[in-house]
Amino acid sequence: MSSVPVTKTEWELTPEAFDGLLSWLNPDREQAGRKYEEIRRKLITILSCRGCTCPEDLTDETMNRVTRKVSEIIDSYLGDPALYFYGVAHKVHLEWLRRNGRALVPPPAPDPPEETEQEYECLEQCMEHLTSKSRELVSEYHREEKKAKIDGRKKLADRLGIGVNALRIRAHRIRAGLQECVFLCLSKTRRDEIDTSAHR
Amino acid sequence: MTGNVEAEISMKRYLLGELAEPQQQELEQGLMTSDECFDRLLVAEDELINDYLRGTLSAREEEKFDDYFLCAPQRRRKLRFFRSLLKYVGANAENSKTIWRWPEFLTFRPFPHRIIEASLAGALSLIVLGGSWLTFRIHHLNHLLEQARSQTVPAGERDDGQRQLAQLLARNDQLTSEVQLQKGQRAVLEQELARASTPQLSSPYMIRFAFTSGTVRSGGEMKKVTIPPSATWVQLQLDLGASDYRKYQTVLQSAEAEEIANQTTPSMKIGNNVEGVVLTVPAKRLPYGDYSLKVSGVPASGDPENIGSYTFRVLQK
Repeated sequence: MSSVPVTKTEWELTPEAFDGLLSWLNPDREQAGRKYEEIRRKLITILSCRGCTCPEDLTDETMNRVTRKVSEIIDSYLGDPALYFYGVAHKVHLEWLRRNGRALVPPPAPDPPEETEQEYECLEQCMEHLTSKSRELVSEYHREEKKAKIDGRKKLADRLGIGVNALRIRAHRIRAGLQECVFLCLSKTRRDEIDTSAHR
Repeated sequence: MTGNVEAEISMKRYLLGELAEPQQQELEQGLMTSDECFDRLLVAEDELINDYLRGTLSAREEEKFDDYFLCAPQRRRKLRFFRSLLKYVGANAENSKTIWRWPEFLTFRPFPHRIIEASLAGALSLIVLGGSWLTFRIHHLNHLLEQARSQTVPAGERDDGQRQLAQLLARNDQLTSEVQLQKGQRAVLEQELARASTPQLSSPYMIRFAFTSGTVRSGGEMKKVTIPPSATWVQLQLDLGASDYRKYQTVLQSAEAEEIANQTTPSMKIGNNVEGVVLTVPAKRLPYGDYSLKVSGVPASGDPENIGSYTFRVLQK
């Protein structure tokens, strides 16, 4: 269910079409690339929020469809291109729902202990790569529970001279970086394990 | 303030799949056009996971969390990550020591020019030589120290001897610290040198790798590709030689047989009289590891026919 093939697109994403899409997003190629990534990331999140089990596949399909269409709409479309992507994603999601229904997936099975251990070891390594300030912030942010949590975060925000909302966003960004680091570390660990067993 | 609280409640309901369709679409359009709104959603998502793991959600919210929120694989990964994070925070609650780090001015930025690359290599050599000299000096001083210890010192000269010994010990400590510093600088410079030696991209966002028949099909030597950190997209270009089929199916899998991309397209011209297929995937989906690319020809009728498998290894970015 999680890797359901999306509609079979008859059209190929060519470098030329991709260039056309980027120039629609922004005349500056670097900024266009950033905008593209940002739209992609937002669509994946939105489709996840809609309960979709393969948000990345549907997002890729959306990006392909918009890329195909861009030469036709580039002169007439007014407004933020992100909303055009959103409209297409909405349609792609409805098609997916028609094919798959709103079936719910069962809750995930508990993680095998060795995987949990590996992930924890990777997290410890990644924490060491953070600056001491970031490490302290993320640790302190998650230390307390319930009422103490609210008070603790308020104090932490005051100490840093920022608002609570800014603190929450700062903590989120540190966590996002950590999660990426853990993901890469786990991939490397698994790769090394495969290499080791292959050499035996 | 009330607006913030309302927005938070609304986001929590959205995350648990409880928002009515019109409000949902309104919120989603806000997410697409406002980075601030999107950041708030991501924060709300984190808070929801945190509350779930802390056991502070209501029974109904917990049920929705299990049945709806965890549908997406990314969220299950995030939940696992949060479990580790909270465990880490719990285990290190009393241990929030500040570790020493290199000062900012010593953390070099990427060097695009060969001259700087050569300078770095020169600096590295100097540090290696300097480090060796310091190591030699430490050994020499240790030797002198041993000699001083073994000599019988007349009572009147003992004070002088002790002073000299203290000086030698202090000098020894200083030299040891210098060696440590040199070693650290050497490690930083080695990293920078390695970074400076990686090939530059023609485009900062897309990197292409060509797979030609005969060189990389299964059984041959595995192709190694290095994806620079700046690449957002990776384009895998497969040379098909003569194109015999109406369409081609390309399936990219990890070594663990996890499907990363699957497309069916007609072939296209990728060079002078060369037909091929092009598969474009986000660089993020190709972390370090081995991959296989299976190509099948799709005839006008009938099942796809296997043409070949291409294996390659993505090296550390």
